[in-house]
Amino acid sequence: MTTPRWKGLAALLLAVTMIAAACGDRDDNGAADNGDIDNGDDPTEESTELANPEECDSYNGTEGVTDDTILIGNSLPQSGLYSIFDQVRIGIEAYFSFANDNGGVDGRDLELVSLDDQYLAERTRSNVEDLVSQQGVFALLGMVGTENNEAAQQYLEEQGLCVPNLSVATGYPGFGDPERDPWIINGLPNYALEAVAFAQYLKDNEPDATVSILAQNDAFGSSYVDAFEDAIEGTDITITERQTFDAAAEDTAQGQVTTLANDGADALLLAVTGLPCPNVLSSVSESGWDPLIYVTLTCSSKVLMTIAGDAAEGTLSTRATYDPGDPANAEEPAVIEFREQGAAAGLSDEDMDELNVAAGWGFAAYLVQLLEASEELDRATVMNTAWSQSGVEFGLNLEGLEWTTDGASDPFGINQLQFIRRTDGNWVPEGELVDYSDQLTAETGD
Amino acid sequence: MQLFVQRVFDGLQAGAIYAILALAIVIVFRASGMLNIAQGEIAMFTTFIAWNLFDVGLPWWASSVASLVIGFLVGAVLYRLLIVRLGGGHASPLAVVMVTIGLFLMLNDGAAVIWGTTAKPVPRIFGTGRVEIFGAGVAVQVLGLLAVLGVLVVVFGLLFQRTKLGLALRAVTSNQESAALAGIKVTTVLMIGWGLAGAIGSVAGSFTASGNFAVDRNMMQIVLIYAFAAATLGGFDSPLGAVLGGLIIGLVSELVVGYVAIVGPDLRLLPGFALVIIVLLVRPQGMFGSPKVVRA
Repeated sequence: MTTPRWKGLAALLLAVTMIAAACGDRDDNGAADNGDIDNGDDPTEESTELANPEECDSYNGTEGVTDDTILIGNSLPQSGLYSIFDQVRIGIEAYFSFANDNGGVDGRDLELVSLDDQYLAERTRSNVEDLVSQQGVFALLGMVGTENNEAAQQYLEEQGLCVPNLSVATGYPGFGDPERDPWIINGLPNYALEAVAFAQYLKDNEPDATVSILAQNDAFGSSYVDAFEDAIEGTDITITERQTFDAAAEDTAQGQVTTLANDGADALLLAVTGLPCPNVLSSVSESGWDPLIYVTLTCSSKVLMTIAGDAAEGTLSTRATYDPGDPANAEEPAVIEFREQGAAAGLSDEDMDELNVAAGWGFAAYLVQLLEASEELDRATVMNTAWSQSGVEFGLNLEGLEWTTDGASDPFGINQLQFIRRTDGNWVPEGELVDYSDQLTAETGD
Repeated sequence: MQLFVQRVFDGLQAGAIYAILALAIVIVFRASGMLNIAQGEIAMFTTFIAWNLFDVGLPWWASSVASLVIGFLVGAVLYRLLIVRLGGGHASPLAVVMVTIGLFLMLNDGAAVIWGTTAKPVPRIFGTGRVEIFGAGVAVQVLGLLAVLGVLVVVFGLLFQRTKLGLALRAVTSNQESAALAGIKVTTVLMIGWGLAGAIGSVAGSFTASGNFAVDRNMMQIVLIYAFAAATLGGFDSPLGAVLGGLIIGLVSELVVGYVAIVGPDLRLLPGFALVIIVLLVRPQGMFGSPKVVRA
């Protein structure tokens, strides 16, 4: 049976699968090219005209809006290791249902079309093509992933299309540059803000800490790394070892953790997301290394932390919103309201315990207040309204958190964060809600 | 020293999973002369069924044990219902490979239809404990995995060498026609071969899932690539070769990535495959494969 032909065939197949695997790798050229961001030198009146229809090849400001509906598009991972973010869609749909039951936006019902991209940027691109060019959505909302949103913007830019991409579920600093691209606005806190906050935490508590970094080898990872490097410049905090991790390969980061654990730094900045989070936390715990770990806000979801279990104990993260699944927050007015409205919209208790569902809910709540605040339902008007909001409260944002934007001088709605620490299987707040935005440098946005 | 020991265990951890799936591939190849591209997907499918058991309350380790039986059934049923009709041993090798590629896609999409497309969280089979070996922290999960691999090698070694079933499998491998003439039910034997491969593959599936903390329908694809490399390295007709090939590829990948600065984690696939190419240049039949002797 064993003929040389088989060997050749096997080799051929091997080559084909290798090529296929290589093609699946994501391109990380987009890393943190934030351009030069001016720190508030622009006259403020300009900030209301950031989105200018004249700069679009084809502009249809009211596409997707009919007398009784507003069509909204979305693409996120509904399958694969990152499918946890499909919960964002559940949250958005629930809020739409709640809003529609309460009169919609000026009598118009919100409708969501959501497509699966498996966290693969090239698929996001084709999804956006479908959503915008075929289905004619008015705006995109709550799209997950830095590279994914970059791919979306690249497509829209190439086609000369001007479509609002609102509350993107990424805090990539590069999307906080309305002078370069006024059609996309972040929904999460700036990743750089998180990194700066963690640097501040170290400055305050372990001023001569050695730090290891494990980062995704994409724009998400480098957002944290670049901002952290900037923030510790001139301090006694040193980065002693750094490793990267390929988010596109369904593989573990065991070897990287071994390298880091061997170095044995005081602290570990973990710039990863999705299921690799609990995976790495377990590997670190199994290695016997016990650093102070910071996990990204995107990792702090209940599902991921439950998977990590004891390995997550003592881990540090930050928050800008209440975690509705944490019993400690049960009496917060925003949480009580979310629970009531969410239940009415058909969310299960289990769903409402999830941070990603709550995030989707928040994105949709943001959209509704934004559409209502806009003078007209026109794409450019909505975008310009988004760039000049002040002190808005919505969704599950922490009490005292004011969503404020001011064009290029303050492109991120969230400027404040509060530290949380994993204690006995729950996140426990540490300290107050602090505004870190003044510590961001020009390179890292804001 | 401690770092080296740690990296060796990292390599063995990855390599053991490649080895197990490679073992499944080699068993099918030996029994039926077929290269089963869908072996990884069969393992994935089986692991999803095991997840169902876990979901209704069985511990994950027990579900993983049960998946051995499930894997056997999935493999055997697929052979009986599909392969024997579409390919059997008589169709051209290329046609059979096409059938298994079809099976690959069918199982992958089928899993999406049956279990949805979200990854299903599962724990480590042997828990998250650790022990110290030469100062290196080694997860109990890794030791468990290596022990399971050892048991598989011994059990299947005995099965092939010391039982009537093993004899029948070897007879069918050697010459289907003669085996049939000698009264061996070739189809049944091949079905058992596919079942055994399915059972072994399920072990790779369970460990891959619990390494990722989730069952996902695409989780076996990268493992399959390594497993093919392992089988190529060890020799497609040598179970022992497949196991050693898997371990060697895991070790080489981990050690080269860990110690050679130019080959960072992003080039993880490279060292193992470079080794495969080198070995094939010297020994086309793989390290332990038997060269085909053709009568002049």
